[in-house]
Amino acid sequence: MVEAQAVIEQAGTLETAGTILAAADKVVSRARAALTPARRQKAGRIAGLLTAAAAITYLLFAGGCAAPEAAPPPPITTPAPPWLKLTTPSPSPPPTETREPTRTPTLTSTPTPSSPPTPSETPAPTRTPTPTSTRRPTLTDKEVYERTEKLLSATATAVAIKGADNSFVPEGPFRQEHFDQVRGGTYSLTIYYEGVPGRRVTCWLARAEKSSDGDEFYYFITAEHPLKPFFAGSPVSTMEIAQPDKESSFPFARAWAAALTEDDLAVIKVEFEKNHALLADPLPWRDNVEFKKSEPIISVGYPGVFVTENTIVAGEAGKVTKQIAVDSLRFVWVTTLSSRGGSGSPVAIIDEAGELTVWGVLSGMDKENVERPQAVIRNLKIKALIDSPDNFRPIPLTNTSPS
Amino acid sequence: MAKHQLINFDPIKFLGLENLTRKDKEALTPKLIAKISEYLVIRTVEILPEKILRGDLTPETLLKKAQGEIPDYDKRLRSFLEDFKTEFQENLRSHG
Repeated sequence: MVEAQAVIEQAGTLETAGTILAAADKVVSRARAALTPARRQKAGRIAGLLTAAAAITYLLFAGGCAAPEAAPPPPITTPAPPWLKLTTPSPSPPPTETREPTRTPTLTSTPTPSSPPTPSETPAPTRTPTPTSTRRPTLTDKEVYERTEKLLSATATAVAIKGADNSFVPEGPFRQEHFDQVRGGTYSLTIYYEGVPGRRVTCWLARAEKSSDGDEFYYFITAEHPLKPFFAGSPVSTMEIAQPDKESSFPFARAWAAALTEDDLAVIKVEFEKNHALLADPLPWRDNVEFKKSEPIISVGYPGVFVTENTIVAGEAGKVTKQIAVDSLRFVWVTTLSSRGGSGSPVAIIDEAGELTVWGVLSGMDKENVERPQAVIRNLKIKALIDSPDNFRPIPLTNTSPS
Repeated sequence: MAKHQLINFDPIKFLGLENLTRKDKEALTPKLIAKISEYLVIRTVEILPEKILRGDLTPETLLKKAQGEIPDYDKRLRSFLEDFKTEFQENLRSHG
């Protein structure tokens, strides 16, 4: 390390970036040249699939071994969020949360949810354990699901016992009216495919517009991963947008979808069979919002375990705990829980003008915090997607309601 | 290995490039992550048995298979990272 610095100092203002990248390139080229032709081809194919997210997965495993000089700061213990205090029937008390130390403002390499487990209907396969690892093992996807759903289920039961239909507890800057506003614009999205398991997730209304012909179009935002089968060519057999807590369903005549795959964002554009006065105003939102660590957030959605317990809506105030950006992709961790059915849930802040603003959607779960998995959020980048009709693919439907 | 250390891995720090300007650091970080990751993929392919490499593999599946197949895989990765650093610094020195 000292040697590398000395070289840089010695050379003054070297053409640094080019020199450094050339040095790194040379290392990679030499390693590649040492492989047999067949393995070189194989490695090339695999490395060709290295996305930014996949790259940081590798550093999750390799990077931890590479920074031994930093003494770990003492963990910060924070109290559980208020909604967890409702968990009277919970079989075990909620564990305290250990947070990561404060990070530098510059977003650099770190382990990430390279593939944060997505809250879908089908749990991902469990990871092969590494018995010889000296690191604390991360949870498997299945364990994350079990843990979060146990917590959410206990909370939902406790709330139902209290006679409420949602779990929201006012906290920080978020009052009941904020929850009501987000709740009003948030819907459950059920989508079934032919020959592929369907799923129920969460979406929210971002825009309502009227064409010159008088047709009304509504733009709902959700995560991209529940729509992957559609974008891969699987026919959609059934799709429904509803507010189960209000027993409202909105059959529609036509639908289209557009997505930003790497950002796990999708827009569903629909034309309803008739104009629905029941639809609340679109939620205010903004792309590429910058925020601070510990920034308070609110998230509202329809996790499946809540619906099972007849509690229906999960609303939770939380905080941003960390963020990671690689290239243009940004992952944000917040202290709300994610669960199957919660994908696509809007995540909002109170902006500098005091207005509630949605800035992200719930995308997955963090597997690193074994005591209490957190949600992984993706920033909105939807304006260009919504504004260009060419981005949308029609969704041919055989039904519009699963019933 | 403590989790904090995992979280705080920084290729700029790891490679001893802390004297760079902030702008250079920001520009280089994702590129170095990509290079180091590619190097780890190559070195992993080098040590895995032939049968494991059959079929279509993604970086993620390769990593999972290596974890299951190679004892002390994380130690091997550490060694690969150290190899990368040593060779990188040699290359930098020869340039200067």
